[in-house]
Amino acid sequence: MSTRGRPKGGDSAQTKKKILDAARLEFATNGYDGASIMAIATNVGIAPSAVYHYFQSKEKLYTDVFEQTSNAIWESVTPSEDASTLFDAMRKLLDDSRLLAEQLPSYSDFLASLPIEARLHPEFSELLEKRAVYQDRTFRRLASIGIASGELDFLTEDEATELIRSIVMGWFFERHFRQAEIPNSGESILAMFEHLLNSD
Amino acid sequence: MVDKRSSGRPTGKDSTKVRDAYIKAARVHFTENGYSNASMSTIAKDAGYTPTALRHHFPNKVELYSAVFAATANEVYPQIVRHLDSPSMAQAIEGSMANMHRISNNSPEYTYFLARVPSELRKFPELSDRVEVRENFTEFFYSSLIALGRKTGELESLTDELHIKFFRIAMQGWIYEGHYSQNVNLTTQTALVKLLQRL
Repeated sequence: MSTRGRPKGGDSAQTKKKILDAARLEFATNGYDGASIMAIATNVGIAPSAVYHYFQSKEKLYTDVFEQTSNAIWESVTPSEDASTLFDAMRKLLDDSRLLAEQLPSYSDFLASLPIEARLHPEFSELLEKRAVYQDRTFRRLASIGIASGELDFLTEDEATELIRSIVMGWFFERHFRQAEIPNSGESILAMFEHLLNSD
Repeated sequence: MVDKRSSGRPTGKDSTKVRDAYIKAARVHFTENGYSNASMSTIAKDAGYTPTALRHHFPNKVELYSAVFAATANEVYPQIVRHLDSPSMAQAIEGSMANMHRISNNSPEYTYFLARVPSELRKFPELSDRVEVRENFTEFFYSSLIALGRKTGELESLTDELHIKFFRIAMQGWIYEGHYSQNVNLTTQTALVKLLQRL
């Protein structure tokens, strides 16, 4: 019967991915406590026991969704080596992030709710540390681009990193809370860096 | 139901005291457990009074949440807004962020409660008209801050609209990210003041 767990061979990776997708949406919509393994299984078209076959517990499932989602998001928003100005890098980051939110809304929603879940569930505090590592890699990279280009050469690397963190996360959270960008918020960030770029 | 005097409802000054105790306990529960997980009976127990008396003051969770929001905003907002009287926008940013930082150290449940409000509103839109003052305050604060910068000549580069949005995003982002990652520090404040001097 197709609803009985454990498909064989090549199907296995695909099923695992389907479970992760369904779980991400379920966690993003209903939170960790409210998420139902039954609902996830039904969405994928498998038995709940099959979910536990791939992910031993709800906790493990949440952690794996976090890893997979963080990798995908931070990979795509981290500036490439050839970005030469913060203005260009930020424009790309905002565009990529908008595209992700449009095409894969559960990715943004899951990550936005993570820090609050981690506070409610101390067993996830390790995820907060991992989140900081992902953030730091991207924001430090942006900071060093901005310092090298002259846009933020009046700041130390730490100051530039924290400023960029506040700006990007502010833009991200406000959009998440309202399910729409605050009008002109992305534009204001780009206008500011464009001004800094041209005023050297 | 008959109003049984024995089940709570103290009068006058006592009543205010009881109400304050509920608000204090509820603030901790709402911040630590979120709106959906917070339980009226546990809050009542923590406050040291009966659930019946709690219901007398706050008939439901929406009412309780609104009251906690009002009490918290009344405490925090004036301490932020007074910095709009600073002689410069740089000082207003410095002062308001330092003050927010101080409150988050001394009474973390106040600022964390406020930082969580927008995420609760997303989940529970029925709360939104109860905390309307928040959006009004935010708009008032950032437009006044930019008007100050314009007046002192600190801001000339962009339009007022873009300045308002930029500083709002950066300062609100500092509040959200700092509270969510449990690391509120003043590096962003230093960076914003230096940025302002550069403009």
